[in-house]
Amino acid sequence: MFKISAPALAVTCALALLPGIASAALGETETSVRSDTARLKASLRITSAATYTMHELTLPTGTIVHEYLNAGGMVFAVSWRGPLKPDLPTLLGGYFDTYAAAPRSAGSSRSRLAIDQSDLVVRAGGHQHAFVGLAYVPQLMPPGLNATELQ
Amino acid sequence: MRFAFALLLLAGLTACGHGLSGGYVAPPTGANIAPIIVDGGPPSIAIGNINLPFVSVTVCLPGTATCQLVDHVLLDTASTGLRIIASVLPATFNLPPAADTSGAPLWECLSFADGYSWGSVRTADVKIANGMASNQSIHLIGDPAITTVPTDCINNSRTKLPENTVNSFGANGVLGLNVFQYDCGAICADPAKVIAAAYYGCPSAGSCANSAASLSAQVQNPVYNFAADNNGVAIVMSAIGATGQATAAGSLILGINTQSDNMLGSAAVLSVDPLLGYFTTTYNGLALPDSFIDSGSNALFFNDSTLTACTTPAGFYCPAQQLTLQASNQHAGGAISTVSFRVDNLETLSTNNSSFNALPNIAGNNPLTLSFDWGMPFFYARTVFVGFENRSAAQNTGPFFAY
Repeated sequence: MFKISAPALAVTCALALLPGIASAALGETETSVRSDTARLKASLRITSAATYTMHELTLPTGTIVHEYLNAGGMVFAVSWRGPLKPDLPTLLGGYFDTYAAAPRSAGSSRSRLAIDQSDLVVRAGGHQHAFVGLAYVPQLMPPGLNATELQ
Repeated sequence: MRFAFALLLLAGLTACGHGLSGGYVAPPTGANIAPIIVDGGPPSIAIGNINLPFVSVTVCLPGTATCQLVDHVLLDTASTGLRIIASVLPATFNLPPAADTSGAPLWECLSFADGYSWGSVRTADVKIANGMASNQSIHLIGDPAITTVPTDCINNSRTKLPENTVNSFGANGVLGLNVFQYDCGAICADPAKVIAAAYYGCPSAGSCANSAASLSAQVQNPVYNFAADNNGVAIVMSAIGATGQATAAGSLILGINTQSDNMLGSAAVLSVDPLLGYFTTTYNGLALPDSFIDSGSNALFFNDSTLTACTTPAGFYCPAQQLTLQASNQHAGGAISTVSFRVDNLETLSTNNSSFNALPNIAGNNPLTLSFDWGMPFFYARTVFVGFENRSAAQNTGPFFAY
């Protein structure tokens, strides 16, 4: 029996950078920003799940960025994993200032960063050659989606 | 007189070791071995460190016998290259600058998850034990020549935590001996690409711009460039008592399977992702693909919401009773090894013995839910091998860890 279970990735739409497909910074809409892919010089792959669409950007540094869009087309989460950090002001957009100024939560250190603001949650870490991170806006998360499902 | 004193000291150590851990094993000594000490760190720092392993490194003006021995350099299996806080070297010890691909003086932003270190890249001959590499690029952190930090270095590392002094860094420097040769690699060597918050060309103070650094100009793993014993290192730490010790001793052994003192033997080899250096640890049934072995982390860091958190220091675990837990690592060839480790109450341990700098059974929360950070407690009573990328040891090609 064929069964689709959320949040399994169901559709792979594109494997290369396509004209007209834009991605956006955290908290912005897909159409509001022409293209992070251009600014980050990335290639793009799009996959869809039941409650969100994910844009996967592969940067020239080898770092992979995921941008998660909700049903309204808003980027509610971004994540990164790779040898160098992505350009965080570009990726975090209007939330960058919150990120830069927010106090660290318990468990943070030079190599691990947790931020728990009402409008921004960050889990980031790593060291030379290996950086990982996730930032999301709780209010923009699709109902029922758990942040642990975002990689 | 001197002989008698030495005997007394040896007897004292032996008795002490028996009392704590059931048998003192003296760290090995040999020409390819540099001693490791876990202590509070450089005497000048405000708060003593816990579980940070230090070595001494000699740096020399290239091609000369004019050298400086730098003690309390943090031995770090999760970064690449030698970095020294500028203030620990005499102002007259003027190491020549390295250059970017356009010939401008080379500077570097070392970006952490939260914080950064900024300084020039200089050229030195680097000596550790009997190994020597000439004309190495090293990072001179906190170099006073340019103190205005580029905006993208700060932005990508947050604004609050510059680590450019001995006190903020907690050490006189760091010796990064992870599995990689270069601290950035080919992506930073291409003048056609602009990589933020990495290398900069600084023709003059105030004119620093993102720049490319040739591979040879990049900060590199110095042991990789030694003439021999250059395929990896073995880190041997003695066992310490369950409640900790004031200090712990160990050995940094150059090479793997190159001398009688660094044989891989029956150690299980753990292949790592050649891009990131990560491997997969499984804990509580959950696969954690962003796991690593890091002598620069002072506890085991993993996520387990069932463990009681400490009030102080926040972020660590404080179970009412000592716990014995397990995690497993998948090795090359598919074998699984289970690692048993203990988690004790850090508040109690540090209250009972506030002067202890080596604590074997401490762990903390990891905000990264897909990562198990095997920090310094993993190293006690073990030999951990770090196999460098593109080098081989006993039919194993790096990058790998083994233990």
